[in-house]
Amino acid sequence: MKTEPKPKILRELEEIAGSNYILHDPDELLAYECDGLTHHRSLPDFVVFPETTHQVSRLVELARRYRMPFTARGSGTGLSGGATAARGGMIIETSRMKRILEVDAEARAAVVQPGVINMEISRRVADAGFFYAPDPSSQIACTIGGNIAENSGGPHCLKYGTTVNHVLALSVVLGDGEVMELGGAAADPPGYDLCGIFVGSEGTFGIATEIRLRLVRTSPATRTLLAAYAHVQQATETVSDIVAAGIVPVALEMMDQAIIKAVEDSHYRAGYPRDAGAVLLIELDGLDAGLKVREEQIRALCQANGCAEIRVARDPAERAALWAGRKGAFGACGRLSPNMYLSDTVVPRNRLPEVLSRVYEISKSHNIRVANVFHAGDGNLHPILLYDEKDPHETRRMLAACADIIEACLAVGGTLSGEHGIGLDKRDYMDRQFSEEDLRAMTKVKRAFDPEGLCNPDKVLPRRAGCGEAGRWDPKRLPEGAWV
Amino acid sequence: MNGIEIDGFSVDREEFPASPEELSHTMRQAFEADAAMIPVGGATKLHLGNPPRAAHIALHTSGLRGVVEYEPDNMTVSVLSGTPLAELQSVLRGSQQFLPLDPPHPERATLGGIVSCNSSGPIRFRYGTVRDMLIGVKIAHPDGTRTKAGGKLVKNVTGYDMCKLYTGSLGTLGVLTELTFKVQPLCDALATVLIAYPSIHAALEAAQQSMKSGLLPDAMEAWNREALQAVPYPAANSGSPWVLMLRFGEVDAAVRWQVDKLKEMVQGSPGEILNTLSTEESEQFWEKAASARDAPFPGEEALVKCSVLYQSAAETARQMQEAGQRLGARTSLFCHAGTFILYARYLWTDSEPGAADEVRQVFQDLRRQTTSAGGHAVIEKIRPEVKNAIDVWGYEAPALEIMRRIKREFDPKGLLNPGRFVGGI
Ligand SMILES: Cc1cc2nc3c(=O)[nH]c(=O)nc-3n(C[C@H](O)[C@H](O)[C@H](O)COP(=O)(O)OP(=O)(O)OC[C@H]3O[C@@H](n4cnc5c(N)ncnc54)[C@H](O)[C@@H]3O)c2cc1C
Repeated sequence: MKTEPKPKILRELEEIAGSNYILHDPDELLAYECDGLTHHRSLPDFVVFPETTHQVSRLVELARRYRMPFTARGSGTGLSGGATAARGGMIIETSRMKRILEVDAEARAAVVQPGVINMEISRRVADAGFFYAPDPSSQIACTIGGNIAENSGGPHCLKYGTTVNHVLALSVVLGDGEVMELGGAAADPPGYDLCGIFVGSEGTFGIATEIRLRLVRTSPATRTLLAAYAHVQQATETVSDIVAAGIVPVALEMMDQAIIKAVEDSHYRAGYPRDAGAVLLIELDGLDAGLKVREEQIRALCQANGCAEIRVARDPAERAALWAGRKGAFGACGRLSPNMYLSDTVVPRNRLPEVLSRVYEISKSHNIRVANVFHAGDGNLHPILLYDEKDPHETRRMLAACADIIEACLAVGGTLSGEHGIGLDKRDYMDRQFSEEDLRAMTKVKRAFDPEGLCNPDKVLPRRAGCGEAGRWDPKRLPEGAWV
Repeated sequence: MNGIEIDGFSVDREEFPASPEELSHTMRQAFEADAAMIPVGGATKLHLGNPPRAAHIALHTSGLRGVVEYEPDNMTVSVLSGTPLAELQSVLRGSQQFLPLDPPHPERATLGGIVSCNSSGPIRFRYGTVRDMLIGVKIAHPDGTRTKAGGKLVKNVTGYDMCKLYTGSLGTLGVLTELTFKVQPLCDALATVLIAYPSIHAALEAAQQSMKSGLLPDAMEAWNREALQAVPYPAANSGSPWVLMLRFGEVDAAVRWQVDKLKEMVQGSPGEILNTLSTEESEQFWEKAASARDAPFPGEEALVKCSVLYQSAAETARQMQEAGQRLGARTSLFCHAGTFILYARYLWTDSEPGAADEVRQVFQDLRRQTTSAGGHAVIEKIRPEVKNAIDVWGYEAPALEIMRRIKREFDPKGLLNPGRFVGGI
């Protein structure tokens, strides 16, 4: 690891960020070897913790001089390998950029730094009568920068839309260190919607250093219902019926028996009916007068599908309890097996019942246990595949099951990812969904933002469509004079 | 439709491909011949943009018409790009759904044109704009290559979100052939309340107040009297110069509750309720209102769109009115009171429009004022001589460099709508 030019580059890094804010010792770097997707690992050469946009810009400039790949990282909760330094180089970590810079109630907007934790924003603006709508289950840990990069979703995105629908403008640092504004505070900025396409680009276009977000006014009234069923199929049919009836709840989430048990056995215990085959968590918001009517309609649809029990949260505490189980579901699964793989695909909502049946068949045929908790109203499946990474056979079976699930979703017009992104994980599936030409069009946009290809390389696009695959960054193989 | 003219340019040839394949074939030939191409939908927005550097072939999308696939139980619809919006709406209405876009001239405006121009109308306040509902595209690029992006999924992060790139790109990266949208349920009931205010400031404040009191309107528009004249509406007479219009859409009980609440709020304010419209009246009213800023006019006219923040909206309205006085034109002002987009329509009814240079000066001053307030001003419609003297977009930010690179990547020969978009793209 100790290569010749490292001391010089290190001195330069220190000069920019301060010596306390750089890691380069392999032992310390280990924590940054992967994100939430642990089966893709690659050690960075440096991790740097800048505090200002200016520092980020200088770091990127330096990376360019050394032809060193760089990758932004928020909290590292990503689930597609996005924040992993695939070719080594520098990780730019945003945890020191965590200020909420401005809240403008009239414009219904907030300006934040990328390291701000998602949940902090809603907390901060609650008193003014607002919230920040996209609410990934990881919202107590993940950063807005990571949310921007992945176009993250959450239960409440069914009605309010995902991250991209809530980003008005971005300050970004691009591959040459230049800082620019994409989008704008005022509506409909002229030109291509670069802000829109930057969101969801998985950190491969540049680093967002300031983000202007749309705030949503808290609804006057909310209703949260829990509907329990004996069978999964009854629950998925209810979801399809609700969508077909033209009702748009704020959230429409499903949990199957494996999840219910895991939650009830954990400290996320929510009082879900333990013996249910599946539960739906249905939330409505809006005006009280309207909710009464909608609630009746939904009750009728639940009952028509043989619902065994319906509970309604009577107060905010009960509502929070119902949600605590859902939000803790992934954590609760930790008890079920040493490792788990959280899959993420989307299917048209009218195909949900048949695809979910396929998921159970597939897991059975590969002898891999599966638990399902997902954004049913969006058609966004999240089968959690349980396995032990120390058992190579089981790991192989898990990956095979995963591949079959993807194929089953694609077969009904589904997509590879609804919120976790492609990253390193699914890029080799990209040509299952897109033609060579489709991928070339995406490559053009990547090239326009990042002509040198140093910004979070090897992510999103499949190996072939990119501009050739270089190996790991090697400071010794730098062109002559690169760091003068 | 024949004889397409764009900013004084007549094209040499008009093509009416009957399928995406034919369109792609025509484009490949044009590409090989280095011919400049102008995509044309319903021709309702050809006035948008700078004059083209060249215009050899008009590519009409009128042959690409019809719904490809409508799945009411997934709330998505795929439609060919030359389909007029109204035609799509009547299909969706059969399942009690609609596409929540209300740009001018739905009978003629095609979905391809609406997406390319990022057109919107009053209900954007509740439902957002094209970027919030377009989930899939098929497009033919200048050399005839066809690509797709997205799909029929309401949530999708597979690859870069190309739908965002094509939305509002004014046909400079390709010709859209098919579009997939997520649609919404129609509301059980609608109501509209028209309230007169003595000033734009008071109207905007009332709009803010209504949101703070828990109302959830579909649209909030503040128009001056001049603007309202384009919409025959059943209102009582009032001398007040501004009218705030709030539209509500929900189940009946919730609509009624909001109307009552609003009336309560207006009491003891400078506002005066002019009228309350029922569901049917509201439908008719808003249909006409959507096209008002673009109603046919025999004489000389100009249309300017300024977007600002709440804090400067009233001042911008004043400046837009002042510009009208300098131009010697009648000024209609249409303000989205929730998103702070202001349209000024200038009509020269009984006066001669000034020389191009004078008009340019007025718009430059207006743009300077808007920009210094953190907004931007786009001249959407003006006669070609003025366009030759001023960039209608006025966009000069550093991001222009990235936009130029994108254009070069997709259209290296610069053949699609050359010169009409920002920065000469
Ligand atoms: C238990 C659990 C539950 C989850 N639930 C959800 C869920 O409900 N919905 C959902 O969508 N996701 C969910 N996720 C996934 C993950 O939390 C999200 O993808 C989140 O947005 C990642 O944020 P982060 O700060 O951890 O980003 P990281 O993992 O650090 O990085 C993610 C990507 O963002 C890039 N990036 C980070 N900061 C910036 C920046 N400033 N500029 C540009 N690029 C940047 C990185 O390079 C990387 O590509 C869950 C994850 C876990 C572990």
